[in-house]
Amino acid sequence: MDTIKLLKKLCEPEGTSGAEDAAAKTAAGLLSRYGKTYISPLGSVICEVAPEKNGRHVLLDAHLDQIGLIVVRIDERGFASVRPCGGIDRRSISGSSVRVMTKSGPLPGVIGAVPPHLQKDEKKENPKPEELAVDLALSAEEAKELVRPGDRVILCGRFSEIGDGYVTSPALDDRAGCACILKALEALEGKELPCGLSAVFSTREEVGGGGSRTAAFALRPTEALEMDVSFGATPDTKPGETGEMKKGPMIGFSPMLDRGVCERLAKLAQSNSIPYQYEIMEGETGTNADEIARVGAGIRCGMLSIPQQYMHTVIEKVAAEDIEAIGRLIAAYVLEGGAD
Amino acid sequence: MGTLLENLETFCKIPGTSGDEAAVREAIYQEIKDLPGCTVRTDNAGNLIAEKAGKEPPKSKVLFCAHMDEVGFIVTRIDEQGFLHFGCVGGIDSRVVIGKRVLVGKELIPGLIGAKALHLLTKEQRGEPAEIKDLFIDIGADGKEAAEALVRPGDRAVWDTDFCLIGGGNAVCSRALDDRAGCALLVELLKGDAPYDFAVAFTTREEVDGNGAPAAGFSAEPDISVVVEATSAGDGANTAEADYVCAQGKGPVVSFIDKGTVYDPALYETVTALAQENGIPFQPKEGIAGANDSRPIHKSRAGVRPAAVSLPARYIHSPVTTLRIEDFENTLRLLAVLRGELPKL
Repeated sequence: MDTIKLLKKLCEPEGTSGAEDAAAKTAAGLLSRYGKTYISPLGSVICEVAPEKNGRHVLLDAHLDQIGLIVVRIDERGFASVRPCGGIDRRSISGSSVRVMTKSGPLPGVIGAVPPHLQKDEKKENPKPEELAVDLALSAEEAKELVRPGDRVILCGRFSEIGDGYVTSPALDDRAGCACILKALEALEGKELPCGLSAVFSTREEVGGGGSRTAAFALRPTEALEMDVSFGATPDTKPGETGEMKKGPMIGFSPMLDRGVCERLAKLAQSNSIPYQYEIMEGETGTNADEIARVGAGIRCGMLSIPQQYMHTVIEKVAAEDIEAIGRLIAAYVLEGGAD
Repeated sequence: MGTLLENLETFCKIPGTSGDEAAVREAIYQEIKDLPGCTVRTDNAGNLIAEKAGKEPPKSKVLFCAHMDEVGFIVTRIDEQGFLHFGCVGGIDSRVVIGKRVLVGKELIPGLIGAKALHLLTKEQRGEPAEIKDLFIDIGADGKEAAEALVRPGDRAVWDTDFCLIGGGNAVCSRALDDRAGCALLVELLKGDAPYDFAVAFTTREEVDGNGAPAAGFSAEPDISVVVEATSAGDGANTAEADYVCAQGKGPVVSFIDKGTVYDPALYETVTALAQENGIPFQPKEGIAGANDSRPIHKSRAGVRPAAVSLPARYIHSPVTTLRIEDFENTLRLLAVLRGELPKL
């Protein structure tokens, strides 16, 4: 499938951490042609493509959930107090349209901002999580009737192409990773695989990684590749702090990752003329790779990050060609892989 | 011809930052040019001025006034990587800027206002509001040349937000309600028969220190002015009642003072008495905040008696300003009464 169409399809359904059902349904629909596809107890979508072979079983993981907010109470004037569900960028929340995902469907609202005219002469700060509230333009009675504590709230954004080969959407972290895996599975379809292969679109990454950890336990792979977004360069970043857009996968090196898998990925990128760059982390990766590496007796992990700008806002942005490059590198790894 | 709400939507959707109101002016002109008794002109400041002939000449000439411009952004520089650097046109808090979509220039090129990821900031930096000079607009152009093919310094940008109803139709939510809501009301006021001659000015550059209205105040030669503005309702979440200034659902806001104007006390009494007599809810502006086109207009020529009838809007100067439909409609009711009564003074 065309990469941009695929991204659009993956990004459109909403799915905050722990409430990924709609996104999971779409993802399962896309995965099912590649193998037995089912939903894990924590909601992750698992696709068993091929059983373990030659002592190898590769797990491909990307997470389904996106950041959002969660309603904690309705106040006496009908405002819905909300708190972050995942590490939402607090600088980007004020002045946003939102949708409250209620039992009877999405309900529009806004998270406002005190206008400059009414601001007091005091030190300005970005909004604190405990100050966030949704204006539903409803009375307290009406709001309590429609909205329940625990309902999720999504900041409105939309999927669109932008500029020269980029896309933007609120859910690219990490549906873009899911797209990389689907591109790889598409490339591998009909090929004789030298190893076992499973794909997981995991839940709850933004709130502790429970979805991937438990799926990895159930599947017992010998090695895993994690595809997640990482920081793309912007004018306010320093060299070395980020990856470059359109320069291909950021191959991760971290104490949590298996050196052999990482080296192998770099070699395969070279031999297949796939552009690549390095992402060097001095500790944990901050992704599902940390969770998966600790499962059972341990799983050797590699990581391919997608350079992404504006993480954890509704304008997350990636380059379609980076997704395609990662898809090709995953396929090369599965076909010729195994760690060095 | 659009209905009140259709016009509101049409006007709100048109980008028109201060000094760049031509498209808004054209849309309003198309709505009013053929109205009976209306003579319409544009002055050198870009104000659109409509003189409406009524059944009788007035004792006092009344000028109703709403501004066409909105706050937004102006591109100042395009860098080597193709990012657009910008400044704000009008008063915008940097805390409603990051992570928002914008439309840039006449071609409405989609852009994203970004900043480095929160994860890359220290704990202290995460709490500090960004400075506008450190932000940028990303149009997805790879390099300066690609960006320059689409955008020039001086091009304007506005938030790319939908016009929508919230609260099951209780309220509208949009950018630019300040003051396209006033514009939509004054278009309505020009329709139908008027008891007396009056004038309407749709002004420019209000958000940059009220720099369009002086020309309108001069050329329309009013005795009385009624500025119709979206004003800050401070009754959002987590605010104390003492800080509301005005609140939604309580009807038009009548001012006796703000940061730009001390209003005519007798006129204030008349306006509030007329609201009461006609059973129209209203609220005094309970605080000294904001300013509007009354500031320049009341100092026009030999002086103009100022009044302000405002719309209580939450979150003005943000992408998601909201206005209650009932307040919008009650403001129109009051303006219709004033159109019939103030010319007698």
